[in-house]
Formats: sequence, C-alpha cells, structure tokens
Amino acid sequence: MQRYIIGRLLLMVPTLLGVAILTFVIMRVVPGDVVALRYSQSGSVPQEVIDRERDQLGLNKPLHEQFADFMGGIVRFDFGNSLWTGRPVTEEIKGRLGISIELAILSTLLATALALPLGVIAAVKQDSWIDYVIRVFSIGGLAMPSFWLGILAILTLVVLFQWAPPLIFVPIWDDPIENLSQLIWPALVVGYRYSAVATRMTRSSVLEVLRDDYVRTARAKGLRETVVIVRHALRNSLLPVITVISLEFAFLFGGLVVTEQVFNVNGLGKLLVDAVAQRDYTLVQALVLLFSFVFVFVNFIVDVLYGVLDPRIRYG
Amino acid sequence: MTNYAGAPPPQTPAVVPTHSAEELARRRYLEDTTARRFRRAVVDFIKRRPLGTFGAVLIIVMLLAAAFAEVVAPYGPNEGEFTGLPTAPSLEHLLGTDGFGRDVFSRLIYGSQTALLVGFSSSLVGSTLGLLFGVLGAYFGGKTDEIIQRIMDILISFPLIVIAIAVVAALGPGTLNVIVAITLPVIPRVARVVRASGLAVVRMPYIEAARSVGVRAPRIMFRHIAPNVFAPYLIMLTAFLGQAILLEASLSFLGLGVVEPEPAWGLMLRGQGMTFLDQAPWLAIAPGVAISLSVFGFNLFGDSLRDALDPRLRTA
Repeated sequence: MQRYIIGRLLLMVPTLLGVAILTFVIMRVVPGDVVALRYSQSGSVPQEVIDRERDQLGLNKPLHEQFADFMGGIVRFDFGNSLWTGRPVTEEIKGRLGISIELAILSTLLATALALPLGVIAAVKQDSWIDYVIRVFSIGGLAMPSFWLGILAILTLVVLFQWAPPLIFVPIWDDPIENLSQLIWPALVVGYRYSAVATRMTRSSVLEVLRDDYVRTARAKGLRETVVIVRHALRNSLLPVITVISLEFAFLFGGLVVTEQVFNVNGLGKLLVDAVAQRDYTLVQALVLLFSFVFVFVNFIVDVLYGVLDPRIRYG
Repeated sequence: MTNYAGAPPPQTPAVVPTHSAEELARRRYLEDTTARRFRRAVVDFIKRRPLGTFGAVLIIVMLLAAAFAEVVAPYGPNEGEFTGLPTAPSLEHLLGTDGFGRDVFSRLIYGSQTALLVGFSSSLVGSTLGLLFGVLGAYFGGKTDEIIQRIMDILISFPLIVIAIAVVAALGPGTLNVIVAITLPVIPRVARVVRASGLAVVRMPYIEAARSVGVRAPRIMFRHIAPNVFAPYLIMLTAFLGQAILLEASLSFLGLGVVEPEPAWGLMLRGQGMTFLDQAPWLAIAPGVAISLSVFGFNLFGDSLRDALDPRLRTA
C-alpha cells in the first residue's frame, strides 16, 4: 500500500510537468503578448516604450531562459508576478480561491443530496413511470446548458423577488447568511446539472448490486426493504458514485467559467479567461497548474480511498 | 437393423420436432440476414425503450430540419431589415425577430446545421482517435501503453477552456476551429474506456491464436481487437455527440466559437439574447430550448443504446 501511494504520487510529477510544458508552449504560440495588448487601445506608442516594458517583464529573454525561470519558480513555489497587474500571482489567486472553493463545495453537496435518493429510487422502481420521470429529470439537467439555466434562473428571480446578481460578493466570514443567499442560486444551477451524472451512476450501480446474492439473503432473512436498500445495496454500490462525485468536484473547482460569467461571480474560472485574454503568461501558467494539480490529486485520493472502502481491492 | 427400399413405413407417424423457445430463437438467428436482424433489433429497441425512442425521434426531427432547412425555414438566416429593436412573436414571425430584423425561428432551423456539423465531426474524429490510441495502448502494453497513458492524462487534466481559448487565439474563431477545440478533450476520455475494454480482449485466446499463425500487429488491432471494443466506442460516440453540441454552444456563448453572422444557437443567446434579456426574453429562451432539446435527444438515445448494448459498462 505504501509503495503504491508513493508510486502514484511520483507518477503525478510527469503529468504535471507535461501540463506545465504544454501551457508554456501554447501560451507562446498564441499570437500577441501582454504589452501589445495593453497598448492596443492607446494609438501610437513609441517602439522604445514597448521594448522597455518587454525587457522589464522578461519577455525578450530567449524562450529556454523563460522556461528555466518558470520551472525554477515552481520548485520554490514562486510563480512570479502577474504580467498584467504586477501583483504576485499567488495574491491574485488567493483573492478568488475562497469563492471558487465555496461554490464547488456547495454545488457538490447539493448535487449529492439530489443524486443519492433519486438514483436509489430510480433503481428500486426500475422501468416504472417513477424511474422514467427521474431519468428525464436528470438527463434534462445534463442537456440544459448551465449558462442558459442560469439566465432562466435570473429572469425568474428578477420577476419573483426583484433579485439580481450582486455586484460585490460578501465573504462567508463577514456575513454567512448574506453570502449564502448570494451563492445559493449559482450553486443550485450547477448542482442540479452535475447531479445528473451522479444520479445515473447511483442508479446503474444500485441496479447491479440489487441482483447480488447477499441482497437476496438479506431479504430472505426478513429484513425490512428500507434496511436492505440502504444498508446492503446502497453501501455496496457507493464506490463508483464516490468516484464520479469527486471527479466532478475537481472539475467544478476551475470549470465554472460560464456560470461565473452569468452570475457575475469573481471566481477562478473568470480569472483564467481574463488571464488568457490578456496573455498574462505567469497567471495562466499558475492557474492551469493549480487546476491540473487538483484534478490529479483528487484522482489519486479516490484511488487510495478505493482500497480503504473496499478491502477486496489490494494494491501490490 | 437394416433399412431397405420398400420397407413398411414406421408405425408412428413422423413427429414434428417441437423445439424450445430458445432453440427456435437460435435457429431464427442463424437463418437471419443482417438486414433482418437489424430490423428486429430496431423493433425491439422501440418496444422496450420508450425513452430512447423518444430521443431518436428528437434526433430525426433535428436531422430533417437541418437537411431541409431551405424548405422548412420561412426566411433566410440573415434575411431582414435592420430595425435596432426586436419584435415580438407574431403569425408572420413565429418567434419574433431579433435586433437585426432576422427571423428567429428561421435562424433556429439553420442553427441546427451548425450544431450537427460541429457535434458529429468533433465527436466522430475525437472518438475514432481515442479508439486508435486505446487499442494501441491495450495491444502493445508496456512502454508504449505507459507513454500513451501519460499523454492522455495530460490532455484530460488540462482545462478545456484553455484548450478552446488557445485554439481560437492561435487559429482565430470560426466553425472549423471550434471543431478542433472540442475534438481534443474527447480523445483521452474515449481512449481510457477503449483501452480498459481492449485489455480484456487482448488476453483472449483468439488473439494469441492470430498472433501464433503470424498475423501482423496492425491487422490484429484493426480486424480482431477494434471490432470487439466497438460497443464502448459507439456508446462513447453517442454520449459525446450531445456533449459536443453543448460545448459548441458554450464556446459560442463565451465568444470563442462560431462567429456572426453564422446562425448558431449559443451565439444567438450571447448576442441578441443577452442584449435584449429584459425586453425580449424569447430571444434568449428560444435558442436555449433548441440546445436543450437536441442534447436531450442525443443523451436519451445514447443512454438507452448503452443499456441495450452493454448494461455493465460504466460510463457516466
């Protein structure tokens, strides 16, 4: 087990290195840089000014030197300063991290709360109208674009409660109730959408387990159906469900670009889009690396959890 | 006992053999032509999977709308006089007109061409490349497999939005580049599933047999392995069809996809829909319904296809 964990941790290194190299290359291949973009609106700017600024930002260095700087920085956990704002990249990210994590956790909780009961009910009532309604409901969630659902939600909220997406978000530490009332709507939209995958997974996984011998045994010894379902069937079918939910959480962490746009949430997704648009190399590199790290790390945790939750799985 | 000509007929009349239902099904199966078997599978699908059939109907409607857009749409996609303000739905314009005086209903019809083009080409190319990498990895194993897997890991943990933005920034926006951006993330996801099924196939005795009679590697891969992992391939393909349409809409909504004046659903939402959200909400609602219904159709159909082909395959 220990060897497995260490091996998996080591395997993360080449993956993340690959992501770092790819990001570095892609960003340099994309035409335009931060200096050109900054002055693109301001008419004619003397070439010396542009050159001086490029020098200051280190953009005139040869590529391999820039890459060495980038790699050296990673080792020291120093991602440099944002090319656009000049502030340290870690500061920029720290300001947005809280809201992104909170939204991801809230959405994942809502999705789980929706998915588990619905999936179990759909499985128990397989091929009945209840099953069909639940499946249509969950596939519908997958089919509706989150930005559209968001727009509909805002339209409805505006009409019903005169509620509009706030311009400034209140941090949870300042005023938890105000904060929740702001984040609950995007979390509901995202949670509904991502409950769909988990619901389907719960359904198929419970269906599989329900045919197993020990479920029949449990029924034969006269256990109540609820006990059979919850203690015997659901517990044994949770593994794939946990996988799906964790991977969704990893995705939600940085993938809510469009929803953030619609609900005017200043999260990491929006930061990334802006950073790419501004060719803010350092910020993009740090963000992509962060997202990939979360993704790879959650994957790793899930794999280790497998062995803990299911003693039959052993890692050699 | 010898039998000779002119022998008296046996005392008991020839008994018409009565076969069990399974035996009859087996004989019918053997006598069947491919076409007949296909027809029976379709009838069976319609009878047993009402939701999937409904999905198929939605898909067919969409295909027809795209194929006969010139006939179905009352106006051209870019026909209309600039008015500056949208008009409400009327008998003349079923879903009203947008700020450019263009008929929304007609643009929806033409938009299905864009959605289908992007959806089909990116999921087809992406899944097929995924199939290729998956089979390669499963067949060769060892170093080759390891390298392919690491590359797929990198691609999977790379945020989609960065790929999309990079492609658009490097190649410029437009339909073809959207297809490239959506194809890339499909590849590793299909490759993983195909590889997993391929690993089981590679251990089959017939592969060993083929190898021992000197069949070359490419032939084994494409004639012996690929057909046997076709079910997961097909399932992933249909699953990603809906997702690709959704992604195209999202990218277009973010301004990273199809460009005006091309009629695309996500773009209609972004431009006219968002501008006139208060005064003319139907401009935002109509394309959203079109996106949702088409993705819904593909998802329903894909889901039922998965159930029909391989109930144990877990792809959420």
